[in-house]
Amino acid sequence: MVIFILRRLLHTIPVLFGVTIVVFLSLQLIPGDVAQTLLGFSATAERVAALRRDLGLDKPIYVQYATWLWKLVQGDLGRSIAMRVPVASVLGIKFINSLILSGASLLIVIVGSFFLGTISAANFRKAFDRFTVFFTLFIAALPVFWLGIVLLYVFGVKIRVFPLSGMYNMANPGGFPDLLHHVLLPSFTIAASSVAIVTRVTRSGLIDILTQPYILAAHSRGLTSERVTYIHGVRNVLPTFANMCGLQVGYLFGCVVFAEIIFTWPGVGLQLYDSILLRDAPMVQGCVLVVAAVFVLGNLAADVIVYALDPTRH
Amino acid sequence: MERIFTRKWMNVLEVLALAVAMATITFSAATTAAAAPKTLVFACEAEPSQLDPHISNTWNTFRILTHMFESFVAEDLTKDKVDRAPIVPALATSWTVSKDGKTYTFTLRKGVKFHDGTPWNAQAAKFNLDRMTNPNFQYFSKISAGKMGWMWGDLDRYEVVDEYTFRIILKQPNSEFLSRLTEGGTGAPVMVSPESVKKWGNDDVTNHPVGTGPFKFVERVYGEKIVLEKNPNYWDPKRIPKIDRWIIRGMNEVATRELVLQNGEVDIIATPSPDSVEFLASKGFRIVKGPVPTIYVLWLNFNEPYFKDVRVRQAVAMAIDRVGMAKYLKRGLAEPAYGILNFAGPGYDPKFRDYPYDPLKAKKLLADAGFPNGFETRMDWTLGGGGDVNTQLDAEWIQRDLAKIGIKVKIELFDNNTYWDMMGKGMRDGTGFMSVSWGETTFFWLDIVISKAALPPNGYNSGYYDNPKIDDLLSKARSALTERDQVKYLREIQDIIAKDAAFIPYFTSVQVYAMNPKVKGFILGPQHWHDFTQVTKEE
Amino acid sequence: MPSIRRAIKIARLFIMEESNKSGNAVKRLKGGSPDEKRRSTLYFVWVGILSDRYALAGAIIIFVFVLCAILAPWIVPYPANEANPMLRLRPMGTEGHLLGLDMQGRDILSRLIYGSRFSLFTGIMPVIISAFISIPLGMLAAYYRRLGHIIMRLMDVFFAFPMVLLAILLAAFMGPGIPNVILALVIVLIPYNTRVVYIEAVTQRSQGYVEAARASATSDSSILFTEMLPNVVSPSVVYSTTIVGSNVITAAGLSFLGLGVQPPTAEWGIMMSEGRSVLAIAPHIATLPGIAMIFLVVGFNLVGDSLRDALDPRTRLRRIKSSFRKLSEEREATDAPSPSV
Repeated sequence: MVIFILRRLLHTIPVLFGVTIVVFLSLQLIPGDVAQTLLGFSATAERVAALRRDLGLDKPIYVQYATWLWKLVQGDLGRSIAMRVPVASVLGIKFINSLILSGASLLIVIVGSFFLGTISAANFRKAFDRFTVFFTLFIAALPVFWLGIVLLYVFGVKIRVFPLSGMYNMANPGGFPDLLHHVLLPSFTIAASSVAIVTRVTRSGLIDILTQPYILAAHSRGLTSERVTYIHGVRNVLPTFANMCGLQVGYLFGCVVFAEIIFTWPGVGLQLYDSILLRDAPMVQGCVLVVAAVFVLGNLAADVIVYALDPTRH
Repeated sequence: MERIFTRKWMNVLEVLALAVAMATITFSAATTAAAAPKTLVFACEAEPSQLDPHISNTWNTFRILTHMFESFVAEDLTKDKVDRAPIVPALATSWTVSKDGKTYTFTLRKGVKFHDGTPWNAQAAKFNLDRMTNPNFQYFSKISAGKMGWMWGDLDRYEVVDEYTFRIILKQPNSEFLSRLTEGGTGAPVMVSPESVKKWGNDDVTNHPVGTGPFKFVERVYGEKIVLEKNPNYWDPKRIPKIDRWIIRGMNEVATRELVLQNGEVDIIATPSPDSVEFLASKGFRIVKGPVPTIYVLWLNFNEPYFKDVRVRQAVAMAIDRVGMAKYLKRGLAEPAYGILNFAGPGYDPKFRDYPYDPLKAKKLLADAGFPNGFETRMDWTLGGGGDVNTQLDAEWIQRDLAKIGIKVKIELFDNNTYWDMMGKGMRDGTGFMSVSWGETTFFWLDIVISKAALPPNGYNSGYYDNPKIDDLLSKARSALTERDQVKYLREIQDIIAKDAAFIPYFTSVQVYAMNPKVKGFILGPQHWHDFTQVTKEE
Repeated sequence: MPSIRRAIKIARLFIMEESNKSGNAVKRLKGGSPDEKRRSTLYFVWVGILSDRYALAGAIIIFVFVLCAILAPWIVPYPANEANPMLRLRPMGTEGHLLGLDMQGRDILSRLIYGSRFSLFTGIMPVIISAFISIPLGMLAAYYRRLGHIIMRLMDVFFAFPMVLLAILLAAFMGPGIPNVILALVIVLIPYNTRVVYIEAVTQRSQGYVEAARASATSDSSILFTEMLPNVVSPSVVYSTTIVGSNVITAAGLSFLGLGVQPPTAEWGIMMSEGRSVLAIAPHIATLPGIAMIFLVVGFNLVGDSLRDALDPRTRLRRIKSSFRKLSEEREATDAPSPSV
């Protein structure tokens, strides 16, 4: 187990380097002078020249990368053009906010698809199962931004059950219950599509397992059918289930951006969107880096969990 | 002993415990409610810009700044049924003007302190004037000087007479001098605490604004909120705020603004969409409308080859259906505008017309000028600032009108703060059009928009319109001794601009605020910013 | 023993459910020999779609949208950018405008029809282009082991980004416009496609015929082209069809964020974004394009799923087994000699 973790860590580090390279190089995509881009439209010529010297823009690109990376490791993600404050200072709290939202979504995916998948498999071809199959086919195709808009309209505008924006009530922040109230709609929006996908895979996986000979054998030994289904069947579908959940993490992270925009959740995704509009290149880079880094680490964690559940997979 | 804990006793004990619990909860809730500060949450049209008033742009920001900072005089914005807000004493209790109109002597108010305890006196006034205008001053703000030519362009010198007397001498009389002291939106001639500038330096003082106003700064989270709190030691007891805390949130997207109002997260919002006004009113929200000196103007880029011919520019003016825009896009909350002199400003002429709406003639003019098939260009557009809503729709409408005469326009949108930086730098190559809403109760904005002196980077003549006659006429208008003369010169300017089709106005709008019925005391004066000190909120 | 019977019943039902999908394919099997790999694959695909009613529905949906896209200028009731300011924001069912009008007074139905062009184009083109790049790339990576390791490590870096995020980063910096969107999506899709090709090619590489061809000194390129390519193409094609649906959504998402098409272009993503600002008073503007997109995506998903099932060896095997069982039951009933399996 430890060896596995170490091996995966060793594999992750060059990937993280690669991520920084991609983010660094993407800045070169912007037409025009890099220093001008980093300082924004209003910068005077002297400031632009000073920044060029500071970043060593006349030096070869790998030297520039090294300087940038060195600053990055020290926690200096650059300075936001629009807000004139260090990127890192803004992203700190926004990152936590996004984490709360993604965490809630992941929780819904795990719990929701586990129950839906196993219960519908156990009730194969009955009403619940048929309904689930049809429903998941439909939900898996829903674009997250559309679902967010619809839910916002139905629950925010028409039936005023849920708040429409933000993490807390601005006028009277209410602590954890307030947060819960605010996070439900956006996290559900993000989770919906993934729940559908994981439910389908779990369901078919569990059915595959339940049709195996050893399940019949368990029945013949006199075990009750619930026990067989839920203990033997489910235990064996867990690796597939965990694997699918792990695969969804990337998709969830992508959806977070849209949900944060629609529900005005003050996280990294919304910051990314605003910064694109503001042409705030350092902030865009910072946001992408943060999300990608978390994603890589999240995948690592998911891999470890899947391995723990079923070492024979590899 | 066991007998005590029989069911009957248990029931009584349970009920008692429940009662005590409920009482505690109610009590603590009540006390927390009572102790909670009265907070007003206001959603405005864009993230405010810098909080250093000497360099700050946009009415949106000045709305906030005018509550933290003051000048010698102020506008009384607590009256709404007037054409112009009256000028009243603020940091100066009285003033005299010399016979030649060039010297203003202010008697300063005694006993006023900045929020950080620094006393207000003539030395503080001198510090501020130095900061805005004296290049040799240690804390001189170059950016401020670049923006505030409209205020200090005619300045000769200033002096401290004694601790509470300050004198300002101008090079020529300026009929608008006092009223311009109350203006803002492109830098503002208000007084900041000298100690704060010394402590934080010119660059960082924007994050620590300290003034003398009825509200003081608490904190700012960029992209989220600005928090102000009441200044209980404010010198005018009538204007000590009725709320304890004021939170301002910038929300670009009008849909979000409207949603948070409906949800109760925000108490009052600026500029709901004209399409939503009916809907909000039907949901029980109070809609307040009123006249405001706003005019929407199209800047044309004289550096672009196709705009060098006046016929092309005139064709643009004829191609835009201004009446349609005002009627349908703005649902009647606007009127078409034809002249550069704005409604509620000096010299306004409601009967003035520059060009009729005539797309056929426009196409012919284009062909005469050598563009039978039109041309391609770009529109750099703002997502809007104070008083703006749905600016994207305006851009698309104009894009469509221009397409009908063969001009193909690509739209690029920018947030308001970036947009103002771009305006300051001058229009980019390839950009044919830019547009903002402007117009003021004075004509200071014309000084920094249409004059030669306002060519970038010294002003917002972003389209590079080079006409020295305008500067001459503006100077004459400023120094005119009678209102009739002033209007005469201003109207001459309006004619020239119209003939040259240098700047094309398209509509003038009404300002709208929507609020929760619990909000009381909000007065909509005929100005771009308002007095929030009288606003209160019922529980 | 009621639980055993139930278990068996479930198993049989499930297998039959799967086999129903390609019942007709079985009839073809009677004649063909299992060695002609290529031929029977195509048969499975073709027949699989025709007989599977879900896939057929999906194909019909896609066909309808393709028709809309091609015939747009001739079938729309109004030009996409024609604005009637007096009817701004009118709801569905307004006279002459079945689906209502948007905030500029443009007919939504017409804009939806024109929008299908962009959705189909930005949905399908990146998948095709990335397939063209990924197939050679994946084959090379599998064939030349050392190069392959380097290439796949490079791909891992791109896998480290959530797909949408990478697309946003690229599109944001490259600037708005369709070509940049296509380019960003191609870059984002290449790693996924390449990995699928790589895995398939690796299995092929260890097959006997590759060793045999090498031993007989056939040139590398001809091995790759004539032997590997055909076997690698079909899993890649299948994978590509399964991601077209999500690609349509991603492309629309980029436009939703302002990174793709620009106004006044009629495209579903941008229509949804514009509709957000009037959600409370005119919800149809933001929701209708989404509904159109859902249909299109469901269509692609149905076809993709069916293709995948048809070519997935596990389900194929199961179907073969149960189909033969059915066949032998039929033959017993008619007393004909059973075929040799």
